This record gives sequence, structure tokens and C-alpha cells, in this order.
Amino acid sequence: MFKRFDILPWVFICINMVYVFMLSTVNTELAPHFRIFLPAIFLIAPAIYLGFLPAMFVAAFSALIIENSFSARTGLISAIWISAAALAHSLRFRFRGMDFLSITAIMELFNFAILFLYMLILPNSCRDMQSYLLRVVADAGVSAIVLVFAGAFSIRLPVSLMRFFGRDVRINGEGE
Amino acid sequence: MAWRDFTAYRNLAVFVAAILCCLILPSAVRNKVRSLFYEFRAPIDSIPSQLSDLQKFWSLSSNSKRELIEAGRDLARINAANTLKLMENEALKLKVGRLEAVLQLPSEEKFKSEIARVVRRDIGAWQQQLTIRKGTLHGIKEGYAVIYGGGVVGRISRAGLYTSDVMLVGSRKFRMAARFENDERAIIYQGAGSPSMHRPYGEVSDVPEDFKASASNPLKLVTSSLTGTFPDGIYIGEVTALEQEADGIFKSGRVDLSPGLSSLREVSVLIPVSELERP
Repeated sequence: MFKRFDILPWVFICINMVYVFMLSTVNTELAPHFRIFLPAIFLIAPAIYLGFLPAMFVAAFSALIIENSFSARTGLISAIWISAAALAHSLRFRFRGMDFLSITAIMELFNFAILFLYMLILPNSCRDMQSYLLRVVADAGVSAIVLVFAGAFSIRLPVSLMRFFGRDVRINGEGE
Repeated sequence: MAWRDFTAYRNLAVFVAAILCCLILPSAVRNKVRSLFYEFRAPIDSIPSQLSDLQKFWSLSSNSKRELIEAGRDLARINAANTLKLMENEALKLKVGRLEAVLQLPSEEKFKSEIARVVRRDIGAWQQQLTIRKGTLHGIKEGYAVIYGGGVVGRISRAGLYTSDVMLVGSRKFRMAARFENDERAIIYQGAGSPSMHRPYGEVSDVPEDFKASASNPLKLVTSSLTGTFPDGIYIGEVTALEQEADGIFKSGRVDLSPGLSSLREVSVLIPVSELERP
């Protein structure tokens, strides 16, 4: 009748907080030249390993933590994050192969899509449209390079972590 | 099968409800949630700065006794010189106070400075801001001026309990009255965003026609007393070129901001004395 307490969503929240800390530190050092945006590493791993509702919860929580750095349209940013998590959850079996290229390709796709939506909805804080586009492209490019190294790692980290503690984590719904 | 259908419908309903919550919740509720999460995030942002302080402490504590003695001796000399200056300063302050009382002038001391460490720099296409390690608990409120040794840093855009956000002087949303050094006429300064791999810069407009600037003879831009939140004469940047505006009456130009803005570690928040005196 009662469901067991599941620690997995809380593990993802803790991992995401560590990512927030790391990205915040790196961005502080890189500023003002570049800013790394990696929404995919916060969203994809919870979306593929967790059930729909816990994945939404982790996505919403992470969005609320991250969006604090934006001063405008925070509701829209949360909506984008939740939608991206829902989409990734519905595509979760595409990650079954767990090979580096497919994981990285899908994560890059998500990251670019989210940054593109940011570019459309967030207010331009640059001098003109040309410098705005240049800045967004530069930040998206650097983020994409970082994601090549961090993408697959962010998918495998929770599995390795939970395996260390004796729990086997699989893609949600696999083997049912 | 029926259970699966129910789960699918439930998931869809939760998803739609979550999206609607994000989009149509009253702004008061959204602001409350944002400020809750802002306070929740504050310790995460502060950790690197606290760790850096700890690292500095341990690196200093590993110094040899001989080095500490030498540093102590040097500090004693500087302290002696500073003590003399402090006494001189106090005497001058008393003199100014007496003159103000005699002449019934308003007090000259308008701001008290609160030193704060920079914990996060957030500079991109959508915002240019710093986060500092002090907040409303230290008397900081939104709109207060932030400066450093090299000039203007920005203005407090959001104040939390323990941390505050500073809108940088280079931000497009930052606009203030300014003037050129040795001239009293007010002009308008506005930030111009932050391009990649370039120094932050701003723009001046409504500059009277008689001003001329060049790379060899730049004009120093400083704060104007008209701003209110900033003391008069704080350095903003240098103008190396001015161009005629479309109206043909005024000029406008680019302001090169101080390169030190990109690597700030500590800033000073100016708290108006009138706010401190308020019960």
C-alpha cells in the first residue's frame, strides 16, 4: 500500500547542487569573457533514471536554484526546464546504449535547444543585436565544448555512485 | 492496462499543472518562491569564497617565525604612520563638525562604507552582475551604490539576508547621471553589455558640443552629485572619442571601464548615513 522511501531523487538533487557549486566557481573565474550554461547536465540524468514525477520534481527544484541568477522571466525558464525534462524522460530509452557519442549528441541537442529558447525569451542585455548574438554564440560554443567532456560523465556518475552504495540504477521502466 | 492509462493521464495532468504554475502564478507567489530559493542558494555561492579565506589563512599560518617577525615589524611601522593620520583625520572631522554647526550646514558625511567579498561573477548576454557576501543583515538594501579602489562597480539590484546581487556598471540596465572631471555639466552614462573577450564598456550621451576627446587626451568620467546614491567625483571610466549625435546638438561616445572590474575580490557598499540614523 505504501511506497518505500526512495533516496534516488535526493541523490540527484545533491549532485545537481554540486554542479551548481562547480559551475558557479568556474563561471566566476571565466567572467567576463565566457559564461558556461549546462542545463542538460542537470536535467538529463534525473529524467532518464527517475520516474516521471520525481524527474519533474528534480527538474523544478534545479530550475529554481539556477534561475535565481536570472533577473527576469524566471517562470518561463522553469517551464522550459520542466518541459525539457519531460521530453528527455519520454526519450529515455535512446540512452540505453550508453555509448559516449549518442549520449553526448543528445545532450548537446538539449543544451543548444534550451540556450536557443533562452536567447528568444530573455531580455537582451547587450548593446545591439549583433553583439547579443555574438555573445550567445560564444557562450553556447564554450558550453558545447565543456559538455563534450561533462555530458557522458554526468549520466554515468549517479549510476557509479549508487553502485558504490550497493544499489543498481537502471533506466526508468527498463525490464518491466 | 487501466493502471498504465491512469498513470499516463496523471503524469500529463501533473505536467500541465506544473507548466501553468510556472506561467500564471501571481508574481507575489513567484517572488516569494524566488527569494526562498535565493536564500537556499546563498551558502552554495559563498563556499568558494569561504574556502579561499581558509586557504589564505593556512598559507599564512605556514609562514616561518622569522617571516612573521619581519611582517610584524613592517606592520608596526605602517600602523604608526596610520595612527598619526587617523589622529589628524579625527581632528579635521571635529573641525568640520564645528564649522557645520556654526554655519548650520548639512552634514558632509553622507555614506558609511561596508566592505564585502565578491563570491560570484555572473556576466553573460542576459545579465552582468556580481554577488557579494553581505546582505540586509549588514544594512544593505536595493539601490545602494557599490564602489572599489578603481571607481564605480555598480548598484545593489537584489539584497538577500546574507548575500546581495550587484548590477555592474557595464550592464545595459545601468544608467546614471555623470560628469567629466573639472566640469559640472551633467551627462548621461549607460552600460553597453559585456562582449566576449573584450573589456566591459559603456556609453555617454547628451555631452555638450565643446568637449573633445582623443586616445592621447582622454576625458575622465566621474559620478555626478545628481545621482544621489553615489558620492560626487567617483571615477567611472575614460572617454577616448566623441561623435556628434543625430540631433546635431549633443555628442555621444564610448566609455572604457576600468579593467579591474573583471577581477574584483572585494568591494565597498555605500550605505547612506541617513538610513543608519533612522530608528
